[in-house]
Amino acid sequence: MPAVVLTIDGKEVQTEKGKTVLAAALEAGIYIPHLCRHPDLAPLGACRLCLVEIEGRPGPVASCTTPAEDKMVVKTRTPQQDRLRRLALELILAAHPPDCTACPKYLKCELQSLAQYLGITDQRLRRRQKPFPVNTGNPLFVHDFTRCILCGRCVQACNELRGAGVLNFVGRGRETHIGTAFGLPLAEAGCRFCGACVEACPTGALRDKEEALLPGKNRQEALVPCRSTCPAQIDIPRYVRYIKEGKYPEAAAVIREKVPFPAVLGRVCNHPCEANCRRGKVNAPVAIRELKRFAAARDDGRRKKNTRKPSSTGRRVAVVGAGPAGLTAAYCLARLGHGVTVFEALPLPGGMLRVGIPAYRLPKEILDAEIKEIEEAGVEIKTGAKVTSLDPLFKEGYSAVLVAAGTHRGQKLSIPGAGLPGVLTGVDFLRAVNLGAKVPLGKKVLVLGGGNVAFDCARVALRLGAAEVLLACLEPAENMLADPEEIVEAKEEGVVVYPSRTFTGIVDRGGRPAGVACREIRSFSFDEEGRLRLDVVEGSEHILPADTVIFATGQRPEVPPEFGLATGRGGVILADPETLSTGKEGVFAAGDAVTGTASVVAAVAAGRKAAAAIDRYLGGDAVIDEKLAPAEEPSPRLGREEGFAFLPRRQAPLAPAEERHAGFAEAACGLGEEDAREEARRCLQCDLRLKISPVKFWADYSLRK
Amino acid sequence: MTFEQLKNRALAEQDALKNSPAPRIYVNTAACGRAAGALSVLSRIRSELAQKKIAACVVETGCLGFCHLDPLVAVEKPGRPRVFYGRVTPDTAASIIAGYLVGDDPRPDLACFTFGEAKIDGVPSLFELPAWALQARVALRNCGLIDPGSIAGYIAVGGYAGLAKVLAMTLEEAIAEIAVSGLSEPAGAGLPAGEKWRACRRAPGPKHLVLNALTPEDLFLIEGDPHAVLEGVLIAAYACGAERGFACVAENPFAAAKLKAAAKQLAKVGLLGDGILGSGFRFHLEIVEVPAALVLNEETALWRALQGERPMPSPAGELPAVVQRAETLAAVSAVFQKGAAWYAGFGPKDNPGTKVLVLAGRVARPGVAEFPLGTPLGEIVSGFGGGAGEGRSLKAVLAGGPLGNWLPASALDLPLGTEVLPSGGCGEITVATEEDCLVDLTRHILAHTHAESCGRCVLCREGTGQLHEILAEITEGKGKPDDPDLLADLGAGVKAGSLCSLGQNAPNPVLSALAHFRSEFEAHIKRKRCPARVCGKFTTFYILLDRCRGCPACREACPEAAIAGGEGLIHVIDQEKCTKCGLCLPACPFGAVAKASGLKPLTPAAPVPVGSWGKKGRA
Amino acid sequence: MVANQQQPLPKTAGGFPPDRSSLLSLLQKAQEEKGYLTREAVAEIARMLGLSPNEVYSVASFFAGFRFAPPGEHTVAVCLCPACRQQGAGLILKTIERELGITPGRTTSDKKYTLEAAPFCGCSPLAPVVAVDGGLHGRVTPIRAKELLAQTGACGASRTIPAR
Repeated sequence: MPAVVLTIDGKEVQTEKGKTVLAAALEAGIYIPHLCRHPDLAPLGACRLCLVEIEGRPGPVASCTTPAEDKMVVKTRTPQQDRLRRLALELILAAHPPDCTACPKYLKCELQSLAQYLGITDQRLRRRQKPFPVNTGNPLFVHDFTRCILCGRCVQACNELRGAGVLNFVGRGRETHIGTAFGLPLAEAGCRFCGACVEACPTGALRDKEEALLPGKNRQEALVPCRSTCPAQIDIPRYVRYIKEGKYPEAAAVIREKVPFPAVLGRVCNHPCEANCRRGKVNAPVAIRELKRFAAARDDGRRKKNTRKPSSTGRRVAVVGAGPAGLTAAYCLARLGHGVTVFEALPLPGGMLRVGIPAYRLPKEILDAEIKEIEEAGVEIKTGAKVTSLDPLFKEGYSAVLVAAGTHRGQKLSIPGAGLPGVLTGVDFLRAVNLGAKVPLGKKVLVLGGGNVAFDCARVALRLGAAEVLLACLEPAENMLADPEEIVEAKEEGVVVYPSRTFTGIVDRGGRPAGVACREIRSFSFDEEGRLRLDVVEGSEHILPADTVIFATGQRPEVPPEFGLATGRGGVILADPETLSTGKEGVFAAGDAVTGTASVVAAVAAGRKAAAAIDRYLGGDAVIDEKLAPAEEPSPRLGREEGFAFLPRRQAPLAPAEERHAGFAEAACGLGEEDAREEARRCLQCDLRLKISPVKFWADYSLRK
Repeated sequence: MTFEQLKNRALAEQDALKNSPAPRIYVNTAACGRAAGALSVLSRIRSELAQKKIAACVVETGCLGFCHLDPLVAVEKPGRPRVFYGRVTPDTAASIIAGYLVGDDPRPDLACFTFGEAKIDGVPSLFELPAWALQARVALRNCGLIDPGSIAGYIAVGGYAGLAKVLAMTLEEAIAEIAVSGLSEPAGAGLPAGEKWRACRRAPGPKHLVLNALTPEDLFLIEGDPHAVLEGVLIAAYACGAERGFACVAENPFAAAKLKAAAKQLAKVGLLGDGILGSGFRFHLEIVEVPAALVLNEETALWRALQGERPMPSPAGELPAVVQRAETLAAVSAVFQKGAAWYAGFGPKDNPGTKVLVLAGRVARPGVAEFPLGTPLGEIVSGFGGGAGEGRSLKAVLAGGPLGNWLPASALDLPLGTEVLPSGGCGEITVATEEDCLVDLTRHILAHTHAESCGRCVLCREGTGQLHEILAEITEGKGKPDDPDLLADLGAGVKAGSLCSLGQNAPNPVLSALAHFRSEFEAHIKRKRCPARVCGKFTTFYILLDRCRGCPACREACPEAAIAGGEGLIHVIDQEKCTKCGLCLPACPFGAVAKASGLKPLTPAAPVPVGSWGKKGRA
Repeated sequence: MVANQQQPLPKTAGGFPPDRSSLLSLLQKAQEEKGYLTREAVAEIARMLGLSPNEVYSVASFFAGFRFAPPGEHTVAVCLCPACRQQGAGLILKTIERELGITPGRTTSDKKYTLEAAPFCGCSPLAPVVAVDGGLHGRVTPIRAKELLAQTGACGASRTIPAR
């Protein structure tokens, strides 16, 4: 690149040919005020703040649109320029609301910053209020065009950078404003909701809706909520983009960079990402879990050549419990070169994945395949090996122990009749069924509880041949704890749901349950001590008849006292939230055993965290992430697409209720290729916005000087 | 076909026409003529001819430029000069036909002037008129005199000889020729055409020739002599090496139709398309009707509009096109027909050329004319325009349209050139007298420029808005003592820092009005008076006691029911209700409604009988 | 991304080349057909040229000559250039406003008239100028303005004052 040498304010400045005078000056730490120029966008020469004098040229010229030339002599600070600059800014300010402090962009506003820089306070010009009401009618973004200064950056971002062709200048002269054809709402105007316009806006004219930003997160996290709410921090936008591009193994590799259970999570993850997906504010969230399942199914294993091939550290770690937390930790530790043995009390590995989740949701062979790959990574799994005490493990040469025993003890409510035969806990029921045991069930089964476990129990009972399955829970219908699709599918299959109930006792008919006495409640809450407060409907006592009652009302860990670990409320192991270390040297704990019953993905995330903590304990650097997928340079261009906002969420086909009812075959079939790519295309690619260069303020330049 | 063949055919055609016994009637149906009612005159002429079974040839021409005479009709009988009749109504048209065509009386009482060698008693020749003698008709050479719809008519007066000539030249010779002529755009001030063409030819990539016919002068030419412009287009395209061009005509069905018809004729005789006049030169022209926008005078903006983009001027970058106005291109064809030296002979030696002007406003003889550069402005206003008219005194001249300068009466000795027309070549000259409030006129001009700002650059978009807002407040009685200084400061800033010439010239009317007529601003601001009694806020309408005859005219005209009175009563305007709309003023057949600014003469509180006020005295 | 971007573009109606340079011509043609630019017309032009409707609208909205609402049966434009204003264009506009009961830019409720204020007329020597349905009328007085309205049809100009 040939060099150009020019003189700016008496200072010799070297730059590349093709750069503008403004760029050359800024690079050299000479600040020229500017507003309409954005580092990623073509300059417009609109704001007239960057006017400079160039020797031999008539009049002032905009430095943002003037290419730097060799031997150019530029003056940026003559009195004439100062006057013009101030005038330009005064003119902008005269047509901009004066109430800076009331503006959400206060202190982050480029206009405000420049007004301070140029010291403009008095207002000798006539004030002009632009006649635009604040428009909050669009999803995600607020349009507050009284604050628009018509710099054109949003137009450039939307058209040049994104190629979306949505926002543009409309009208001319005093009528000039930014808008869409016929003032259509963004969705109807073909908006991609990428947020580039908001990112480019120097003032408070284009803003993110406060309610559309994840609270309590930094900007990067708030703007890509799927990734930041994923407990395992899976780079969701990236793998979704790979699916869109048809690069399925790459997509699977992205998931594998964070979790060893892509196919499992693709089926049973409670997907907090989808709850926060910004697309959900447009029409419906992206079916992220389904896309994960789709990608996992197309993992060709090519990624394996990118996996870390560590040399053995010579250290050994014992993991107690082969559930998602324990196996994830084991896998990560093995990848770091540690020797890992997993001790599982049950005859088969998988923990709750194996004995908690019914096969129609998670087929056993899917689980087996992913556990197999963990074993291939060098993890030794000993099943039927109940650990009763930790100390012998250290004696056997293990340097650290991770307790990830889960919560396998079901809890019954302490109501009369809970001890009757035919009154079960959900955990015991599901474990027995999953391990192939015969569980005698009555004709009428009543499940108490409203979480996913309760629905699993209800649906399993149906599949086992119960004639009638009822489910009653404390929560109101609109607020039940289970995933909405669980509830819908269960109802389709014939489960009758009774929400907003409290249970007073089990009707004892000759030593067998005959039903549950219930009362309706209007609402419930917890007091400061965590005690339940109920607002009961007077005279609403009634009995839900049943000959089998299953309590799915909570479960707790079974930690032998011999482990010598301190436990807290609900029997959970007390561990440092950061290091996951217990009070006992070399003993760590993770998963449901620490948190109480949570989600699979939370357990996986806990396993990763535990692995990192243990690696650090063993003297490692705790870097567990792997680079499995190729580095990606996503195109900033989205292109035009009318109707993008209305693309419907693609549903994975589900077997008809009658078929599902009949057995334990997997009910959901997963997305087909076309559906998956279409669904991936719905992604707003929120992460692209973070690739737009941040704008520097004048103070940033003066710091460099 | 060679040019010689083409020319011979055209000459033969014209001779046949000339030698035919049928008289010819010329009617100016260009914009001014139509506005004056030429179309109804034309249809009356046709019906009279049909009725009287007179075989005459009726020709619709462009405008000669004497717009005050419109509708202008001319009659030419074989062997006689063409006799022009001004302000023709359908009835006078009928009597001219009866007199001159049925009979043989050229009606010198109705005639204005003749055109031709022979004379008619009692009618001056066009060439003797001072308003003609002052002019240098280069671009306008044929306007109003030939049939713009006939290519043969144009060829017969020397047309397309320039093109034939240039096609025999090398590109370098062609450019040298135009350079010698000194032709530039805007006349006398802009880039010489030669430089522009040379730069374009040297630039890489395909080139385009763009005809800009958006101003009134340019449309005047398109309607009056489209072939003179098209010949210029072809010559310029050849010299620049352009093979494709756009003819941009302001959205105006008449002008566009004339240009399209002319282009069609060109294509038919092989003057447009591939292998023009048998040479290797090819040129394809697309005629685009461009919706009105002031910013399209910016070359980059016009180019963008042609590309289907928002016409926002770009600050940098060279265009793959030469953009020239119709006026310039019509002069180009003259330069090649008559020689560069001929053209260089007009105007001052160091800055030769001519300029087409549109003279309007409070002037006795408004019209369109072409003058050599250097002609004193005053001579144009009085010699061509006849001055401000009887009983009026000229106060100022707005030279250069909405982006021009107000020049005071004392500056009328300025020679036509950059000092007079600084604003990119717009040739509109508007004369104002003491009846005009310059603050008010300037305010409305700025309202227009603000509305026309493309909206991109802050200084123009917001600056013209501020100028307008402040001027509006001054005319509405809300002016502040600092406003003249603020206007001057703002205006200077907008002028210095705007992106394109629209913004750079938009403050001209304000700055020049302030420079020469500051006292008028101050009268509004400090004395709360409008010396011209135009600004409603400072003006009172009242009824002259000695003139009112007690008729209901003013009362009926008042939209606010602010005038009290009755049969035989002197009417009285309720000043509380009056909105100063001024509708009563022209409504009174006796001139009894008057305006005052400042002190208003005493009037009765309620209507009194006509004649009683004077008798009872003013007690 | 969008299907029609990949397929060869059809030749546009009216034979204009299917690229952006035809935009103004296509807009004019569409306005000629319906009297204004409908949403459908803008979408159709966008489709033909491979643009977004927003881009097309952005360009069209720049020009005062394009309308986005149906005009009245007759369009009355009063020129307000300096020469016309000096010579009474303001009064003429007020007269017409009063006759029609609308301000510039509006259409009467019976959809009979649209009133426009034009920034220039192109024939200022004939000031003041009024254009009715594109036909120019020069040297107009308030009384003449009422006559012009009357000539377009009896309805809106019923209040024309008889000649005195």
